[in-house]
Amino acid sequence: MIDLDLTARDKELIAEARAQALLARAHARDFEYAEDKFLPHEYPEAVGRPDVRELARRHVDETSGFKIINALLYLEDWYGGVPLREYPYSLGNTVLRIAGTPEQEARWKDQIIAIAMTEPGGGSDPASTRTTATWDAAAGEWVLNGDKIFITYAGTCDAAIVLAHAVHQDRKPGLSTFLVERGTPGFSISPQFRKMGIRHEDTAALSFVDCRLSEFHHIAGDLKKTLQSFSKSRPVVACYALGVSRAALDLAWETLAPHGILPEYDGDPLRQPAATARLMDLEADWEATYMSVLRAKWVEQNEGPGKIESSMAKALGGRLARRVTQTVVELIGPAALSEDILAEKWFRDGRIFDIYEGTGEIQRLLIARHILGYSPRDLN
Amino acid sequence: MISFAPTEEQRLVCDIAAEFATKTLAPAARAADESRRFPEDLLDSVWRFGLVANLADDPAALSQQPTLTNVQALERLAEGDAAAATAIAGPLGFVKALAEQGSQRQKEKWLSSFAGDAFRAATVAHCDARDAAPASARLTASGYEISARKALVPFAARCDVFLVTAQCEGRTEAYIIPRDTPGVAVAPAIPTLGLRALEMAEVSFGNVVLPHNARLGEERGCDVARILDSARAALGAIMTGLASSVFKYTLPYTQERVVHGEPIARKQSVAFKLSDMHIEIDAMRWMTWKAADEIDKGCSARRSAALARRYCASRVMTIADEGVQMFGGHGFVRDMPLEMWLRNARALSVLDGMVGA
Repeated sequence: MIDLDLTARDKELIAEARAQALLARAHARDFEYAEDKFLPHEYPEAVGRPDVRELARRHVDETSGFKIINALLYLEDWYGGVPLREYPYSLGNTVLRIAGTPEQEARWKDQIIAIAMTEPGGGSDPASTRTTATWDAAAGEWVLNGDKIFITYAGTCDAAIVLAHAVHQDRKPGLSTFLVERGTPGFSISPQFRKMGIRHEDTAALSFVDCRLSEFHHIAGDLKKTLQSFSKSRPVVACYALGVSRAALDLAWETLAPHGILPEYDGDPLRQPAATARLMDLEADWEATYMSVLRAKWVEQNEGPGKIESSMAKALGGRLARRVTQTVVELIGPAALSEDILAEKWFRDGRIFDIYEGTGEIQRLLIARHILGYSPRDLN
Repeated sequence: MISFAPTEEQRLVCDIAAEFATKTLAPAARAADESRRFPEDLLDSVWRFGLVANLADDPAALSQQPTLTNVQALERLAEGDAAAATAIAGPLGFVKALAEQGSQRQKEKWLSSFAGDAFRAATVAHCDARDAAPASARLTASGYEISARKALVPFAARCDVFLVTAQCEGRTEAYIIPRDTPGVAVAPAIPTLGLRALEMAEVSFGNVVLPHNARLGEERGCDVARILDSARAALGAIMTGLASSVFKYTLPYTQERVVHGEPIARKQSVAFKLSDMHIEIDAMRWMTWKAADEIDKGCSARRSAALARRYCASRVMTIADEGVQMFGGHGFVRDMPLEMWLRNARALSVLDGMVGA
């Protein structure tokens, strides 16, 4: 039976997460001029407050399902600007789960594993990967060489799963994945990228020069399995976008209320202020995205990751954050330019969601191929 | 607990509605648009689909036929012809409001006449600021005196009864006004941009004198917001269905139509528009469902219904407009449905009220 209402437990968890997000606001700007710092595991304000993920797991039967509630908790993390308690969402761990053997999973499951796909000149086209892993038959080792950029958790991860061309005299050449532990000779991490926003996110480049890896470090993932992890994460990125957009919209309503700009559901369309109408349009876009995220996560929970539903949610999320944060700065006006209020931060942070984990264009390409029954060769 | 799974019964209703829409409604849509009239047997066949008659026959059916079922059915019907879906959603809004909020006497008086096999018109007239005169009701010794004008009421001349919302002493209420009440005047139907077969006309209520028991719910009064929310959910569903018909018609064409040596669907500028249609039609549906779900649960659907209507109105226009564009000249000529869908999209997206789910 269709039911689009969250459970009482869902609501309770979200309310607690919102309260924690507001506590985190005290630290929302901690990274603006300290980009080389990393997020603490938890801020002092978290002490004595429940861990909402832990609660969600413990009472999972009373929630709409862990995948749904977890996504909605990320929305709240981003509402705060920084997470009060870090709950890393690293795709490397997802790839390990999808492609690793039980032995590999057992060895690394408790570590933070970054995913290293993007290369200089690569980005939206992973098939153009130039990093290589060459089998050294004499030594019985893989030798990894290449460069990766824009890697989330690069600075803090315990290991990275790297997409590379596997070159082996007895095997068909193809893209595969290799786990490189921090400290492996030849593996180096660049300083943090200087970004417009999301400065609390750890983003750096990785370089591999003759990194020697055992066969056990070869995670038998191909490009398909690696990309499969995105089907789970893309709606989560849409949740990030929802969180930032919600924060920006709330700030706009709150700032403009003294000027008579209030949500109007039955307003006279001829006399409604332009600012009200534009914010109402954004509220509608917000709801459209929210429902699409719920749908994608519900499909994942019931049928496994839905590639297309995920892309649909992500495409809406990316566009939402751009529209909302940019419009909110415009409507609040010059005061929004000041670092005294968070509008300009939302503006800078919100721009990434239509770029990382597949640009809006990549999502539309995937959706178009799906609905048209086209292969990548038919439509690229 | 979140679930997007319709019930078995809802699936069945949707399947039947979809087949009826494809076989009966879609083939008749163009002729109805051109002649500005539905054939009588077509309206009767829409009626026999049962959405209205079931509720009128047995108000207990309200729980078996919730708003969630109605919006899913309306979407499928609108995929065949949005005008036909709107035709049935008018009396559905009236009957639903009566069944949910009418007094026992009001239900007995009005509902049985909607339980038959033949189409019957009725409308919820919610006057907004764009109507010629604001609707107002004044308390008198014997009841109420109402003045209102509502433009573009579907099947105005055939309505035996109107449900008119008006302000009375600061509160918005709804009043049941029989067509033959002195002061009720129906203007001749005027040809319209879209939804042409609905014979829309202006109805004016000039100092109409009503007894006390004309107020919906009588002494209890009623929740007018709920009636408007239901209208918005219905409009959202109809616009979703219309957008869906544009998408399904356009998709295969773009794969057949070859320009500069390849199908236009293989060009990103076209393919991405198709992706956006697909993304947005789904979002339109989920927003409409959300509003319907809140209405069924009896909580306030103010925000969800208003935003569903707003989103659907904006998206259906873009989708119908891009549909015409993809067909080029063929989109503009009247032997294909694209231009009709664009006109219907504009008409639907400026309506508020007048229907229900």
